[in-house]
Amino acid sequence: MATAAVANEQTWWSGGKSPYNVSYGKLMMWFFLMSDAFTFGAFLISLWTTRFSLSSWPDPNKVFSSAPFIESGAPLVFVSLMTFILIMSSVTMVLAVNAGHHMDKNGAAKWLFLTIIGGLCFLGCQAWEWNHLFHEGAWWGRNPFPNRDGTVASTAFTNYFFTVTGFHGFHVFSGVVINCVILTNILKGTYDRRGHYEMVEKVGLYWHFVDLVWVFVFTCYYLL
Amino acid sequence: MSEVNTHAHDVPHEHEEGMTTKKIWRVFWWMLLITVFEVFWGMRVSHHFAAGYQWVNALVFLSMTLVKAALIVGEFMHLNYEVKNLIRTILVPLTLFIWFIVAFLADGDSWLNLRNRYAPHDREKAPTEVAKPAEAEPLK
Repeated sequence: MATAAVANEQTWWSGGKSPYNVSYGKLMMWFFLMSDAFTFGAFLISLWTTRFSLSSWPDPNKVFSSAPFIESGAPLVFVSLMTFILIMSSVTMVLAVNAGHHMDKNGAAKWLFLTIIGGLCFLGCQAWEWNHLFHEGAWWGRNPFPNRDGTVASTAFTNYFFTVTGFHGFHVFSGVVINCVILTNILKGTYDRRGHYEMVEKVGLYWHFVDLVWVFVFTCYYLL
Repeated sequence: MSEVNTHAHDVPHEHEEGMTTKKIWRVFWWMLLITVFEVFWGMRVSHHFAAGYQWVNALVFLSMTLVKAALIVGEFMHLNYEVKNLIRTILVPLTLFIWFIVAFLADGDSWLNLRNRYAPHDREKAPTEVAKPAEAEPLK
């Protein structure tokens, strides 16, 4: 057998460096997100199991048909806006990470600040939507919306809606808080002294994951 | 195969060459385009399918969702540009979802059938007409 200087493939596991070529913190963030993916997956699969066990389900185009200043008849408009806000904040986050790679303190601070604004806008939209649905009589255990076929619907509809979007909204909220902490550190020059902006990448991973979950919630709750 | 392979694809990229500002915006426009398409389909197209063809909607929406998920994870979360070891470590465990989805949806479906058969007072109207409870064959 040839000695040490062999194909790169093997040297990954020969010790002395991370076989994943990332830092410990980033790897752990990936593992955390994987476990979180299973948590959200369990929620959504549970929702679909229940939907499969019922012969009908409320029509999202009827339930989610309002927006601020529009009483009804505007299906998907408001939730599209929310989706757009979240995608946009994901983009500003990548731009913040990108600026961090170039050790561009002002750039990273600017883009991260815009990401925080995006997160707050999303939370505001969600608060509006929850409030609106609550005033229409929807809450955990209460479902005023009929099924597509006109029969009385199960409260599973509202229970899952508030649980899943609530859990997602809580993730957005924690993301905003963490982003604020990182922004403070950027402004204080912590990462300049450290010599790298990897913390921005780590919170970036978390933030994109929140966007990823929303993509699935959007499909499961508002489209299908 | 004994030569030193200096061009193995597991070699780490110099420094994040994968993501330029231009590329970031290109991914953004794709995401936006897909979302607009989904919303258009949801508002204008999805009602026109007859009861038996709802799976077409599901197929369209789920494929669009998976494309968006791949863009987020691959480009924004940068997984496409990590070493293979990391990519596999993250993606292989996710295949558990295949079992997870199949098993639980089958369970939900069986639940619907059992209720229709054995709980007539609580009878759900199934999309396809089921046999009347009295005539139904008992389940094995």
